[in-house]
Amino acid sequence: MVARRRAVLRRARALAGAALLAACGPQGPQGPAGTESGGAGQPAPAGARPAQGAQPAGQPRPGGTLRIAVYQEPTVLNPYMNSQTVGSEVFDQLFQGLILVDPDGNYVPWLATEVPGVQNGGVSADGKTVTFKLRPGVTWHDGKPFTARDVVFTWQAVMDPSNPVTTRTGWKDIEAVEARDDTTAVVRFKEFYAPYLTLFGRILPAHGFGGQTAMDKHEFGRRPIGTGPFKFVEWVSGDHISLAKHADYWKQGQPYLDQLIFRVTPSREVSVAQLKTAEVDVVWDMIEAQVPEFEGHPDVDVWAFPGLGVERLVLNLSAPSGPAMGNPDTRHPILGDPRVREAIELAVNKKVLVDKLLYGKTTVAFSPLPTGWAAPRLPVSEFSPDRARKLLDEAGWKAGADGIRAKDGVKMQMAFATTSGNQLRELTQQVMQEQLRAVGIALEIKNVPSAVLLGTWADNSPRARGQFDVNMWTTNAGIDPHSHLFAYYHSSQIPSEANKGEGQNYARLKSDVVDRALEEGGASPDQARRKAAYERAIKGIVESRAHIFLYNRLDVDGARKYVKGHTNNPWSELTWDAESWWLAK
Amino acid sequence: MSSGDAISPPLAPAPAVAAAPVAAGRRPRGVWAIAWERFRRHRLALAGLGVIALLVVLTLLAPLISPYEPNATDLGSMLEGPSRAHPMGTDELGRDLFTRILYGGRVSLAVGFLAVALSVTIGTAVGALAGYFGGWLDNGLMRFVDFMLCLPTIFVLILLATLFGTNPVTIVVVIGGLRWMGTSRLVRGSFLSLREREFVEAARCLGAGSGRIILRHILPNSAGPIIVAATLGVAGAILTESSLSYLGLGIQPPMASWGNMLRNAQSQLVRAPWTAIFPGLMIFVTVLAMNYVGDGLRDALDPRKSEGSARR
Amino acid sequence: MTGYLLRRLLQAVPLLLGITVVVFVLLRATPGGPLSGYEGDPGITAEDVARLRQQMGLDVPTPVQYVRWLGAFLRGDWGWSLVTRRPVLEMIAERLPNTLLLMSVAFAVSLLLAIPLAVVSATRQYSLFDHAATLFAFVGNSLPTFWIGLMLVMIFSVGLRWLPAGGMYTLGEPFSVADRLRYLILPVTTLALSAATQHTRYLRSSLLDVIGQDYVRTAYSKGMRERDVVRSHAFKNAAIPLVTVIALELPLLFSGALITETIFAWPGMGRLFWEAAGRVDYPVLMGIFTVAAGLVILFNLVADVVYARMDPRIAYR
Repeated sequence: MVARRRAVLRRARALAGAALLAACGPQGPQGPAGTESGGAGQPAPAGARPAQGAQPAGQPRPGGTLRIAVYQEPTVLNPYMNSQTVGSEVFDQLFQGLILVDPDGNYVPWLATEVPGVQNGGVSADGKTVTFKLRPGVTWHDGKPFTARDVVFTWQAVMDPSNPVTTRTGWKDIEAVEARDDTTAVVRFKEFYAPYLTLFGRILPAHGFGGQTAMDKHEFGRRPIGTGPFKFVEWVSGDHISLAKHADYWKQGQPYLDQLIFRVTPSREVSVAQLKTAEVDVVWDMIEAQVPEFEGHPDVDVWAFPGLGVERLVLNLSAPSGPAMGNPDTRHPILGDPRVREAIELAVNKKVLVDKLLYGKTTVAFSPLPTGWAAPRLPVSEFSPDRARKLLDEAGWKAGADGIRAKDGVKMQMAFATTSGNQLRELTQQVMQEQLRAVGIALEIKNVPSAVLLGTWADNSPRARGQFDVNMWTTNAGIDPHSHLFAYYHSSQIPSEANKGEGQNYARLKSDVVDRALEEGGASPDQARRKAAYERAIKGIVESRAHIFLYNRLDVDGARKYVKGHTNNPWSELTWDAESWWLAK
Repeated sequence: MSSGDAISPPLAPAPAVAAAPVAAGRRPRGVWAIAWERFRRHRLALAGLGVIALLVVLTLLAPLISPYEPNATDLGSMLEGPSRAHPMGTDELGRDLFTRILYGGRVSLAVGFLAVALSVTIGTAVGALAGYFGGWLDNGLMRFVDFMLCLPTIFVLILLATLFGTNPVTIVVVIGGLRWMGTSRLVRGSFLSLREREFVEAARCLGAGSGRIILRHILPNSAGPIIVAATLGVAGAILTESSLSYLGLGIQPPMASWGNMLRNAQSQLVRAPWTAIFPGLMIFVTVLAMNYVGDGLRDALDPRKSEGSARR
Repeated sequence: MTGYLLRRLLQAVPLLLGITVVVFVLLRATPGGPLSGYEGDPGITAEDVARLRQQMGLDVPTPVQYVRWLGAFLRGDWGWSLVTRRPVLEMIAERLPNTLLLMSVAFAVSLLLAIPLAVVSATRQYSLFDHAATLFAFVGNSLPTFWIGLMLVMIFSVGLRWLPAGGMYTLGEPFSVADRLRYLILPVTTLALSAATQHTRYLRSSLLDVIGQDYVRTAYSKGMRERDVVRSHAFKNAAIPLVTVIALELPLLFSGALITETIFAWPGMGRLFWEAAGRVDYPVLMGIFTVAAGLVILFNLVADVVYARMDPRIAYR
C-alpha cells in the first residue's frame, strides 16, 4: 500500500502506509519470515546519513552489472497503479518527478530547475497557482524530448476516470495544468493544497499511451518508458526485472553502471542467503534481527539508519463492541480514561525495546513526526512503573488476586493485535506484555493477517470499525505531514457509517485543540506558520496518548563492500541515487 | 507437507480379503492380544512407541522438569548457547529453549493427535455410512470424497488458515478437516466386504439395528487399517503444522510450537543454530517414531501378514 | 474404453464446477479484500477505495460476480489480475511450465531412486539393506520439506558455495543446459527426497504382495532366475497400485512445490499463488485453483486408464 503513495509522493521508503504495507502481504504474502511491514522508515535523526557504503574511496569506475534482491515484485510498472512498496525502487530508475527530497529533508529541483515558492515567484500569493520551470535537454528512453506537455499529460492520466490509479488526492484539487511553453508548466489549483510540491512525483510520457490517457491494461505497465538513468529491458515474472543504462541521460557521465537487475525473491531470508553467496550485490529492506549477523562481516556492509516510520500502539478510545462500537462519544471501558493511557506509556520501557530488539541501531520515538522541516523536538516519555501503578490506583483500578487490576467488575484485560507473521512485532509484543503485566495490565496477543487488521471499512476491518483495544503498526508522515496528520488525528476523520468509512482516525481521538491546529496548518502557504500549527497539534496528539509512539523503525539494507557511491536518504528509496553507484571490483 | 497419510490404494486385490476373517462378532480380545504379540516383536516399532510415550510424559510434566516459565523473557540473556543453566540455550527473547521445547511439544503433539482424531472420526463416519448403506448415499458421499481430493490441499489450507485465523483450535480443525479422505476410502472398502459376511447377516437376523451393527460388529473388524492410517496421520499432521508455521500461518506467539520455534530460528540460523536444531530434531524424532509405530502396527494388525504382505 | 473415458470426462465437469463455486465463495468470505492494502494511507481516501471497488467489479453481489467470472471463463477469458492488470491466463502460462519442469524432474528422480531401492528391499526382505532402505524412507519422510530445503541452502550454497541458493538461471548469462541443471539440483533434491521415500514404501509393499502370489511362486518353481521373475512378473503387477498412488500423490508434489519454490526463489505457480493470496487477487487465485484442480482430475483419469491397460482383470463399465 504504501507503495502507491510512495510512488506518488516519492517519499521515503517507509511511507505512510507503509506500515500498512505490510499489508500487502497479508497472510500470504508475508513471506515466510517475517513480514514486515514495509515499514522501514523513520525519522532520521540527523547525522545518520552518510551510508557506510558511501566510502570516499576513489573515483567512480564506470561499467558493470549490479544485482539487487527484492522480496516483493512490483505489480505493474506504472507508478500511479502499482501497489507494492518495492515498486518505487524500480520507478526511481525509470521515472523522475519535478521535485526531489534530499537526505536532509530539503526540497530540491529534479526535472524542474528550481523549487517554486512564494519568494521566487513560482507560487502566487494565494498559493493557488504554481509555476514549474523545467529542465531543458531531457530525453525519454525512446529518444523523444521531455516537455511541459508531459506534465499536463500526467495530470490528465491520473484523472482519467477509466484509470484505476491508487489515489487522486491533491490531483483532484487541480483546476488545470497548462504548458505555457516547452519548459514551463503552470498548475492552477481550485483551492489551496498545502503539499503541492509532492504532486508530480513521477512524470509519464504523453506519447507513451498511443495518444490516449487510458492506462489500464496497457502494455506500458510491462514495458515502461521514462526519463530516468536506467531504461527498461525485460521483466521475467517471479524472477527478475532488468534495466540498462540510459545513454542519453541528462546527467553527464552517469549512471556508472551498465546494467541494474532487480532479482525477485520470495523472502528476506532468501535475499540474504543470496547476498552471502554473492549471487546478488545488494539486498533491499532487511529486518533488524538480520543486522548482527553481518557485524564484522568481511565482505558485506549493512546500511542501517532510522527511517521515517514510527512503530506505535494505537489505543481505542471508544467502545470496542456493542451498538455504539467505534462511536467517539462513547468511552472505552478501560482506555477511555486518560490516566490509564498515561499509565500504559509510563509502564512501557521503550529504551529496552530499542536496545535489545533493535540492537541499539535506532531511536526511541517521541512524536508521529520524528524529523523534517515540520518536526518539533519533544522529550521522550518517562519509564516509571511506579508512577504507572500510582496513576492506576488513583483511577480506581485495584489489583486482584492474580495481580491483574479490576474496577467495577471490569478486568484490566485487553486484546493486543498486530499483523501476524512479523517477527519483530511479535517479539515487541511479548516484551510489552510482560512490562504491562508488571503494573497489573493484562494484554492478550491476538494477531491477525495484515489484510484483516488493515482492511477497509467496506471489508469490515476491525480497525476501521473501532472493534479493537490495542493495535500496533507502523506508519509515517512523509515530507509534507499534512495529509497524514489530518487523516489520523482530526475528528472529522473518524471512520463511521456517516462518512462511509473516510479517514484514518482509528483511535477515535476528538480534540478541539488538535482539530484547530491541523486546520490552520493546512490553510497557509507560509512554512513558518504551518510549522507552529503542527507543533501545537503534535503536542496535543502526544499528550492524548491516543497513539503511543514506541520507536523509530530502522531502514536496513545490505550490500557487498565493493558497492560504492550510495548515500542513505530517509525520505526516499534505497536506490534513489543508483545513478551514482559504482562497483569497486 | 508430505508424509504418509495413508491414502491406501483404493483397489485392494479383492481375493486376498477373503482370507481375513476376524473373529466374527465376538469381542475380538484375542485378536488384539495376538496383534500385541506381533507388535512387540517389531523392535523399532516398540522403541518408537517408547519414544512417543516418553515425549508425552515429558511434555505433560514440563512444569516439574523445568524451573523456567515458557514465556518469561530475559532480555539480558538473549541467544545464549547451551549451558548448564540452559541445556538447549536460549531464544531471541532470552527464554529457555528446553522449556519451550517441552511446552511447544504439548502444542505440537496435541495438534497432531487432535487433528487426526478429527480426521479419523470424519473419515470413519463417512466411510462407514457409504460402505454399509451403499446406493445413493454411497454415491453421494464418494463424489464428495472425490471433490475433496481434487482440492489442492495446501492452497485450501492457506486460504482456510487466513479465513479462520490461527489459534490452535482452528488449526486442528483445518488440518483434520482436510485429511480424512484416505481413511474414508479405507473404511468404505472394508465395510463393503464385511457387510455381506455371515456374522453380520447373523446379527441382522437377531434383530440388531444398523447403528449397532456398524458400531459393534463391523467397525471393530475394520479397526486395523484405521489405526495404522491414524498413526501415520499424526506424523503427517505434525509436519503440516510446521509447514504452516513456516509460512507464518501456524500457532501464534507467545505460545510455542515446534513449528513456530523453527520458523523464528530462521533469521538467526547462523548466529544461533541451536534455536533451529532442537525444534527440528524434536519434529524429526517424533515423526520418525510415529512412522515406525505405524509400520509395526501395520504388520501386527494385518491379517494377511502370514502371506508376507503389508497393506499400503 | 472410449465410452468410459467420455463418462469420466463428463463426471469431471460438475466436479470442477463445484470446486470453482466453493473456492469463489471461500475467497469472498476471507476477511480483508483486495483493497485492504489501500486502507490506512491518508492519501487514499474512502472515495478512491469506492472508485477502485467499482473499477474492479467488486461492488456487485458475489453470485453475480461468480456468474460473470464463469461466463467469461467458458469463453476462454480468465479475467485480469486486479493488481498487475494483466490477463490471468498469461500470468499462469508464464509460471506453469516452470513448476512442471521442477515437478517432473523431481518426479523422475524420485522414481529412479525408489524403484531400485524397493526392488532390492522386497526381494531381500528383512535384510540389512531392507532395514537401511526403510530407515532412509522414514528419515526422508520425517523432516519437514522446508527444513530440508533450508539445510541444503545452508550447506551447499552459503557454506560450501557449490550451488546457487536460488533462482532458475544465472542472471545476465545466455541459456545453457548446464546452468539450468545447477539451479535445479537443490530444489529437485528437496522435492524428490520426500517423494522418493513414499514411493519406496508403496512399491516395496506391493512387490511383497505380488511375490507371495501363486503365479510368482510358479515362476520360481519353473526355475526362472530371480531377476527375470521380478522383471517379467512381479514388477509389472506391483506397479499397478503404484500408479494409483502416484496419481494421488502428484497433487502433494504440487503442494511441496509451493514450499520448495518459496525457499529456492523458483518462479513457479506455487509462488504465484502465494503472492496472489497475499494480495487477495481473486481472478488469479481462481485461475490457479482451477488449473490445480484440473490437473488433479487429469492425473486421476490418467492413472485409471493406465491401470486398465496394465491390469486386464479390470473391466470398465
